[in-house]
Amino acid sequence: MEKLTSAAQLESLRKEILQKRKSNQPCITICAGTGCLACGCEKVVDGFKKEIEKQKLQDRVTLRLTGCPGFCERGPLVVIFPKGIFYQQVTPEDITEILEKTIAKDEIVERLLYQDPKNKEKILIEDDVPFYKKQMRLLLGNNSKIDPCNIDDYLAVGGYAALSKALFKMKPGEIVAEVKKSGLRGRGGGGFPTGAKWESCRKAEGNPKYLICNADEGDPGAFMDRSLLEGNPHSVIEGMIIGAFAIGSHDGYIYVRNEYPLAVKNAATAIEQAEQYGFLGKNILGSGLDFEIKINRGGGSFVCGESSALFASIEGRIGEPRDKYIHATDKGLWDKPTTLNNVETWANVPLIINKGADWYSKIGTEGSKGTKIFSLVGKINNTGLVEVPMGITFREIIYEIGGGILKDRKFKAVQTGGPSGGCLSEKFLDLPIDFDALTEAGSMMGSGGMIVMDDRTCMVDVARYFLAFLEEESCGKCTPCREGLKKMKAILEAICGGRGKKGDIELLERLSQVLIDGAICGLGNTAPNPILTTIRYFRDEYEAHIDQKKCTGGVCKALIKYSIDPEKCTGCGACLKACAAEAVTGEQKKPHVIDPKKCIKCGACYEACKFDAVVVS
Amino acid sequence: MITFTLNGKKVEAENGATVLEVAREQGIDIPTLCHHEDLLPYGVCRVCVVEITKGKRKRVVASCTYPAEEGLVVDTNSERALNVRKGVTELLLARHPNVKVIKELAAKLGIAEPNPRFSVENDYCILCGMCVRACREIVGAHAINFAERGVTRRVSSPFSEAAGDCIACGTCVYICPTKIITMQDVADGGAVYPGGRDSLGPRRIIHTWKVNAEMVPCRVCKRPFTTQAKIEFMQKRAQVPVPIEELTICPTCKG
Repeated sequence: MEKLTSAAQLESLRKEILQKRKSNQPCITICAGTGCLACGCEKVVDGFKKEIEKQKLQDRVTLRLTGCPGFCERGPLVVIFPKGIFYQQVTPEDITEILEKTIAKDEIVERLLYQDPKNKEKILIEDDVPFYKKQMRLLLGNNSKIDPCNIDDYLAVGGYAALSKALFKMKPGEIVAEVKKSGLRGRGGGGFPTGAKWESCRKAEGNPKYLICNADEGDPGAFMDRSLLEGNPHSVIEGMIIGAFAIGSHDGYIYVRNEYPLAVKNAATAIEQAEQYGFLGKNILGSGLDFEIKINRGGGSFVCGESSALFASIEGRIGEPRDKYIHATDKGLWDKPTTLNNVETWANVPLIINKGADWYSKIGTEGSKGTKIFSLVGKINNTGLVEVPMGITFREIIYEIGGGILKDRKFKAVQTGGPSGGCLSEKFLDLPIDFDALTEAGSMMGSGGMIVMDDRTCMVDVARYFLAFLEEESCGKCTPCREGLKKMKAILEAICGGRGKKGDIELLERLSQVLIDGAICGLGNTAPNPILTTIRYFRDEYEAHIDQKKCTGGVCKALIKYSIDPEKCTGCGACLKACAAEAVTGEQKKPHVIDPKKCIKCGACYEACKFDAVVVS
Repeated sequence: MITFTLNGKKVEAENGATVLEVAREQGIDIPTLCHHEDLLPYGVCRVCVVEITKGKRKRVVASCTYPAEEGLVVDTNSERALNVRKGVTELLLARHPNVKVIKELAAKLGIAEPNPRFSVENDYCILCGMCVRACREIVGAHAINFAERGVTRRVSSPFSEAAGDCIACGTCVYICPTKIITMQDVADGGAVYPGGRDSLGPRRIIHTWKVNAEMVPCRVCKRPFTTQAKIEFMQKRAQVPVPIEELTICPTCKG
């Protein structure tokens, strides 16, 4: 492959690629993202390859391994284009049937279709699945269309057109102005206006200037950055090259978690291909711009996602934050002007350049533009990655996209923003979600984690859980975070253990303020959020724990008791079988009893009982 | 020069000076634990916090790392700053109830005893990092560093074994505010065992870093005063040839 040296060469290559592709020919796309790999998609892929060869279909059908479309819980996912027929939970045994029916005769394999749990309707096309229908998949959309390891696929969907536009039709200052005008804000959690950051870095004195993509996604349960970098790495790289041109940088880094092996691999492949095609390296597309990207694998700690800790980690030092009274855009990596943006932020850039700031800024709310990818998990029917326009409400996400609460239980809280986000109560269900609204409510956008909780959740326990995570991940450099989190966790453990005392809530609030004002970095500053929001919206639960030694959620083991309602118990023996502690006794078809002395309060009997006879009190 | 407001008074400061430096010049007392004027600002104990106003925005910052800026308004004893200072001290007192510097600071801030709601520990190292930083910034030996993270963070020699790069200069011992790093010069560092003894001659032992270093006598008074490792380190570091005679004479004999 000769390097492309002009915009015209890029367009003629694109034309050539598109001509070679027969748009009517069936294309079987299989998600090969981490989620589907875990579901066993490799066997499905192998099976398809063998079967296609066996049936000699090579010239009649294309097989493509794509990135993650987000509906991981239904994996392995197979979508058959051009129609977009959506098959879920596909196993190697289904392959022959898919080829014989769908590919050969255009018939549908009914049992592999997604069934709407609400009305039992079978859904044929991917876009019609309720999980996807309400989404606006500007960034994730291409994940299921392209093979991340094939740059031609990215070019076929219009890839690198934004780069060509930026290099040949815009001046660096105009690009910065366009990004500013778009209203794009940092998707890593802070929500800082991206355009303003670029402008400061562009104007900053000092050379060289560095440009970094932060892919150190560490929030438990969040995997949008992984999916983007795995599934569409070129969109991130294209964004970075445009940024480099705008800011005047020649050196870029992708700082990616080493725990994301596929993202590391796909990003490395994409960089190599982009170099071969002339999108990276010297004199990019003949424009005179030189820019290269190196991959730096993460140091393995949560706090390395924090900008100054990330710089330290790249520099080869311990990944610990420092005071950031001088901005990274002036003194960042190696004390040089640095622009650090999150994966999702970079992926938005080509979109803004291609379609214009005016188009982009029409999506979203007054203060937050564009879409945001959330990782929707918890006690909800449909879990996965959802990309939605800013301004959507929790109710729409939870009840329409997420299909409501599991087992139709009652909604209690939604936790946003990762471990240092906050828990919001039912009264926020109709809140239009954006950066400012979430911050005002005491939570935050964070990287986009969204955990839905039902009425069987104890909010004090939730706060304790998140605090334990943050204490574990605190680097320990500054006193408030190191010592404060330890003591706050101990107090929460005491409350959950029935040893809460009057004044604990006030003490927690006072210590929270010490962290908010005193800690060096964002980890410590935001760590009290889980406590403060649960106190703010669920204070009665704290009081019940402390004053009446009661856990209303039925979670805190020291405060609950399991028993069996003899009226409801049918004597089926399900609880007896489920109990590992041998605490349940009883004859068949007669009411069973739980021995409180033997009961370890694991809740297995509760889960096993089909008649709601096990009572938590 | 820049001008800013410090506790209601207009003050002038050199460009690049930190708020703490200016405050101390002005005779304002801001307590610190991890600050040392011969070391780079570190900003971790958070005892030196002050509240600043910049435009409409108020925030609490560490005065030891915050650069004084034109037009800045600083309050070294605001309620918010004091809440952090006291809170941090309270936390440190619970972990280090027997460390003199912590007890003194607590007394100064009116904290009589550890908060009864906190479990009391009895650690001595307050993790100010002065030993690590002095070894790195002043000596240049990089012999010790922080190990582990969060609540288990500690200062350690590499892999908790004998610190191979330690020259036993003792800088860490002198600078440690809690005096928890121990060093001892012995006339004979040998070992006695059943059936015999090994004589190693004069040795300097730093127990904390598991260092046992050979000592060198002063060529004039013959008293062991420095270590062989330190002499070698200084020769290497000087970058110009230093006559060995210069390095093997003790400060007393040098006069």
